[in-house]
Amino acid sequence: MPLLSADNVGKVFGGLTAVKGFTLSMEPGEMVGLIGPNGAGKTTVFNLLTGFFPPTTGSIVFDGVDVTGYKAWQVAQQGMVRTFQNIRMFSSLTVLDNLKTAQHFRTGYGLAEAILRLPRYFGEEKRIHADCMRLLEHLELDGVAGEIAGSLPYGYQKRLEIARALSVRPKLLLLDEPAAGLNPTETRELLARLTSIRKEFGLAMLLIEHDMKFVMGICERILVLVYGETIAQGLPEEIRKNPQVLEAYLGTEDHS
Amino acid sequence: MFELSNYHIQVLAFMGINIILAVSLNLINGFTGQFSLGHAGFMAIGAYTAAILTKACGWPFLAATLAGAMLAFLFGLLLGIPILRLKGDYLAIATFGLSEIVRVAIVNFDDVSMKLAGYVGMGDLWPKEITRGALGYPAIPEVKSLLWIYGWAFVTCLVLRNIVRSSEGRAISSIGEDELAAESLGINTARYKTLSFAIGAFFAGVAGALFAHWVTFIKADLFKIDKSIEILLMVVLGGMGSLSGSVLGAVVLTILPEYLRMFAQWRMVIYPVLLILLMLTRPEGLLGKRELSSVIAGLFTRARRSAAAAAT
Repeated sequence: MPLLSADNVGKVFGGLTAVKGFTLSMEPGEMVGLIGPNGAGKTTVFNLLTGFFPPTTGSIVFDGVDVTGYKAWQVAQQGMVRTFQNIRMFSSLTVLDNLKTAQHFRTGYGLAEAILRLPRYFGEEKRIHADCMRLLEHLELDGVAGEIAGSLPYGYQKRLEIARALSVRPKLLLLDEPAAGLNPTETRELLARLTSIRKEFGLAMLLIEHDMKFVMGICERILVLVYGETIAQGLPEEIRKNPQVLEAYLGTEDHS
Repeated sequence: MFELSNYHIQVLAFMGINIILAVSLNLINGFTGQFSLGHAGFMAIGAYTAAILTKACGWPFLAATLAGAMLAFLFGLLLGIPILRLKGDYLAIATFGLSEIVRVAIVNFDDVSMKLAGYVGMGDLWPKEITRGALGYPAIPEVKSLLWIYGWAFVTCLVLRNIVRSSEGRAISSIGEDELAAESLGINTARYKTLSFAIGAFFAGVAGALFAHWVTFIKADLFKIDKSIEILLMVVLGGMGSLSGSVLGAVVLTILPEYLRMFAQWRMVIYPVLLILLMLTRPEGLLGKRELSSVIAGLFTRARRSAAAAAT
């Protein structure tokens, strides 16, 4: 059974068709890239899959549950978690608290236990703390655990956003341009990090990226979106040679 | 030996009540980031409910206070669900409208409830005077005890501190930080917005009950927008998202007007000017989002560092 199966998903804003007939099936642990020129509707696809917009047409089944029309937080609780193109940090919270926030819905104590500081509160807080510290170590962020998130350099914040998404313990991680704004060294590090995260946590990833080398280097399968429609899909080598893709990216050859 | 005069005790009492109001409003406006201008409305609900219960029904003070607070909580819960779908200025206007509705409902309660009771054939049984409308509600049993007020202020601060420093509190703060990001991490933001609104309303209700039994005479006009703004100013002055900041704000803004008494009619001129000056010089409030304890700890480390630097 596929982990994610989006069937014929579409979105119309007013009279504008942003995404049309988007179909994607992903296996657990698979790594898929979503590419396309600016304004092709890549982020809209993310918003549709993760419940930020309800789709106009089609259905989305994730991990055996029909999540079509689910709210964003419900989708996240099912195990499909996304990051944002422009980092959305909890800027005035510490790095550690950013991760702890992501564990909220799995916390085993309620409001009354928190107010009265019952034993369950302490037990759970200890577990959450250990859990988040382990994750921070894995992403080499444990050194800044106590820092205010908004004060971190850009590269760290990008990494923190991934760490925070992982803290939800997703089965599918949707990354919206994780390499944007990173320098070549940082990009190489990110590539290695994503590979190791995937191995460690056994999760599937769907990523939007403009850096071709990055996408080709990490994804097993690539989807090309142009004007909201999927014009090609296949292995990286196939996509590289696909004339339609080349045309969409570079224009036709004989432009006078 | 310094003796507290009645006047000083009165100021201390209002200070304690203001601490409860400011700290509880900070949960809504500061931590959750939902701009509410309706705190006086919830205070009115608590004040009237508790006053009626102690005077007309002979309830003990604590039970009446809790009943008033619970009613404010329920109002917060029920009205929070539709109202908190609004954001920013719209939410502020809606919460303001809400507290005006409460006020007008109190003024017209006797007439309207009497008529309604008449329709269902209970006109003779229905008491003629419940809220006493615009005349105000007099002769409330007096509970002039600073112990009650500061006991409740302590409970309010403790409960809110425990909430803020818990998973529930992190969910609430994350909404104030970035609502979309909070949603993306599986947090039911609508639920936590409503919850924090209702908890804030609960303690506003407590403050109302304490206030009513201290002054022993209340009228709906005491709970107008000026009161809400006064509380808001304390929160903003202390720092949105800092509990100790709100305590500080409440203390400063209870004492300050006492010193400004000679310009009594200028108070509402000086207040806004103060707010504008604050926004220009320190938009994050006195403490920002930090708590007093961490600010003091920070001062110590800085002092130690500079001492170490001077030594070398």
